[in-house]
Amino acid sequence: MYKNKKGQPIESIEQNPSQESSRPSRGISRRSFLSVSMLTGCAALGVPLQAGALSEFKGWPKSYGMLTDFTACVGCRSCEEACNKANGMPAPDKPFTDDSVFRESRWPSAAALTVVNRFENPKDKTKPTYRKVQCNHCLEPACASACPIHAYTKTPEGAVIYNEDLCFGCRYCVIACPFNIPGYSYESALEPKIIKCTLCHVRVSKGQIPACADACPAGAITYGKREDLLKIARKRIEDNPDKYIEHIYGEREVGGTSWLYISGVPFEQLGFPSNLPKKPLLELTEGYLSAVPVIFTTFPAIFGLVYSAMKHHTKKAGKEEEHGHLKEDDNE
Amino acid sequence: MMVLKAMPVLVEGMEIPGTIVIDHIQKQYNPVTFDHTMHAGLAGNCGKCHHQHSEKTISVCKECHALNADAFKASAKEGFLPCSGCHSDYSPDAPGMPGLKVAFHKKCFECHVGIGELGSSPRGCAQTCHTKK
Amino acid sequence: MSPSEYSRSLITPFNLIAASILATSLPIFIARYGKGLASVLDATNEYPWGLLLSWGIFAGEPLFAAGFVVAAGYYLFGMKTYRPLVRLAVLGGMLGYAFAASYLLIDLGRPWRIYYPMLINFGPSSVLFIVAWHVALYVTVQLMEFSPAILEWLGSKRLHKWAVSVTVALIIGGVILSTVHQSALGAMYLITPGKLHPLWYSAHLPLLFFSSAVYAAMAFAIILSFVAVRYFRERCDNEFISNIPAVTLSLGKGAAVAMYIYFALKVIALAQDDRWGLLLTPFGYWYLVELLGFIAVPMALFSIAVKTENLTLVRFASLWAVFGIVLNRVNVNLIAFNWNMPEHFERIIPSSGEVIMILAMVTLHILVFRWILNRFPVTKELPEYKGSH
Repeated sequence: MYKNKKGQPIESIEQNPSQESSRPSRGISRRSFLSVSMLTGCAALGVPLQAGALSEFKGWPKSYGMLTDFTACVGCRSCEEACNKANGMPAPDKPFTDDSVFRESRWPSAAALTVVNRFENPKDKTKPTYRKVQCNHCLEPACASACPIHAYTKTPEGAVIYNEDLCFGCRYCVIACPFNIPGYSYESALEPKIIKCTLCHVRVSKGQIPACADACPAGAITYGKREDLLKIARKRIEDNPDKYIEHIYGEREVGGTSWLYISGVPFEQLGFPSNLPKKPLLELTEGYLSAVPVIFTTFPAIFGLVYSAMKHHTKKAGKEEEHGHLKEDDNE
Repeated sequence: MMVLKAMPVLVEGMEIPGTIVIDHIQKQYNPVTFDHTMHAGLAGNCGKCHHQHSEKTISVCKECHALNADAFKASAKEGFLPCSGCHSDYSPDAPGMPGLKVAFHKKCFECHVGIGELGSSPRGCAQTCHTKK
Repeated sequence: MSPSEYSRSLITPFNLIAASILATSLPIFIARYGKGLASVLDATNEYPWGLLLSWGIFAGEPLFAAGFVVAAGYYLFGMKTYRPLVRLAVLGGMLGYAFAASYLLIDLGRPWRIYYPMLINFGPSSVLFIVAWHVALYVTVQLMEFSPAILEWLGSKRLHKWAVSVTVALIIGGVILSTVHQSALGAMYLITPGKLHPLWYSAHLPLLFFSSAVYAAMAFAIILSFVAVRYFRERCDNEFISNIPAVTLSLGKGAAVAMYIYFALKVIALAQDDRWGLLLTPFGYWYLVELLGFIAVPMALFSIAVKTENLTLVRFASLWAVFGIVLNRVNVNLIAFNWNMPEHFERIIPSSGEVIMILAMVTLHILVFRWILNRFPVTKELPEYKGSH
């Protein structure tokens, strides 16, 4: 005679299939299945899918850029002054005619959107080389793809602009920028924000050219369509092979930047990173991002299966144990 | 810098200016008196500065001649244009054509960078030309 | 206890130290919010993130995955041994994630906008967007997982029954969300090939971060169970205490396996990018210290400890493994990041304000954990709910 859990005799095991008080008897219950599906559905809806993540962006073909020719720069700092004034920034401690600033290496920050640094020219010690540093307005900017709140926009004109009304200050864009450009106003308690060159987006929309290009007397900074500037740069290098390094920095680095550079001194000596890939940095994260929705769709199925298999196994083991136990009882 | 008031001279049958006063930006800087005769002598060849027809020009004829039809006529008679004859306001759609300011400086810098502090300090600008008002 | 008795009982050496740490940190926190981040951090363009985020988020999150690992082990894989530990692990995980969010509230430039990526604007091409969403959803799921404990404390039987019934769905949800955000924390650095040292940079960063999170979670669960049984023994019931050896050994086994996998993945990453030559540079030696000293050694210790059933050794290996995780995250965030900047090692030294804030947060974390453990049925079962979960 079989007995149930409470020790009461039953006629056959089939009459009392449920051995536990509140657990479902078969694999995965309807309730669990429904809740899993609903959760999956809600989660999948909640994660925006990467529309066209694997398709290629052809870029804005008629966008503008800047050609900077380091062989022409004389370090007059007119560009710094023009930028400072055009953006309404406070005057710096040392005036723009001061050359003692060249003794140390400076970098764009919340106080200055662009700086010029001086380097020794190995070809001619009497004529130092200068390098102007500012945002490169990449064609496919890492900062824009890194921003979780989409506070950056790559405009068709070429400028990469930032919206401080969205930014909550995570600084992931600063981590992502291969050139370490974005500055953050850490000293502000209530309105800290990213500060970087805007390619004078406001001036350009009014029909003017960026302040630094306008101010530069030496023709070291030229504003024009990127495709035109590339032609000019190539011609300059071709016509003066002894004067220039045979490389246009920014032509292909990280997928190309709006700001192009030609120089007589090797770019690494001027502090340009030389280990950057030729493709846009955001392509390095595409593979992972496209895997996320796949995880959401496959894991519930996989783990649901695991769970029901486990439950089935436990059930079977429990029944076998019961049978064995009850058989023993019966034989007493 | 001592400025000798040079008289116009005749070179190859053409009268060239002795000195030229450049005062486009009078508001910020004092006018600059440019000793054309001395510089012409230093250059040796007019085309070194007046490069409108040199192989370094990347513009096609009409780019300059369309700017100023009178200048074309004048240039046919006089031979050389002042910088402002071709270079005026910069347009980003013609990036190969510098504006007047860049034309001045780029040309002069070819020799002047390295003289005094020009090129090694912003003070060089004032030393060479730009005495502030 | 009467109020006066209670307040007298609060005066213990640990509480006094905790109080002094918290008191010292108060002006620092006030300065941070009143005068801006510059008053407490040394952040710059090259180093926008410091020890605060490296410790609070990147190192903390793999440890606090203890919740999902133990819960998944029990509910999905049917490992009955873990049953007594589930609540404690989930509590440790939930509290840890809440604190990770608090670290964010300190470090963000405009913390009052922390909800922006959820509601105001989406940046779906950003890995950080994925992290933000998944952590937010995961915390919600964990709260719901923990709700049975709260509902028992409140005595609400009907709600309790409902909460238990959705547990499995929540666990699967937790597994998904955990997998994604743990790997996403590593994926965040995929976009920095020029700035992260090539020995630590790899296309496999997401997988490396995820697999290290698995063993970190197990090691942390071992430590949590030890803390409970050693310092909160009176709050544990017999079922909990008697199961600890089995739980510890089982987790130790899991940790050993997970560490083998992680070690193999790290070697594969080196091989695939042909980084062997870099091992002979100063940074290479440091990498070997991390790989051999803090991954291979605890891995070996776990194996030995499990084989010889030595509980103390398992716990010691866990501590070592946890330290290794912290070291790896600090390496990726600070030491190997922008490693070729001039004066790199001086510039990554955290400011005193940062260190004090971290100490204060850790102290607060321990105090809150202790408060909950002392009041909620975490390491014991209330008799009227026995057998229901």
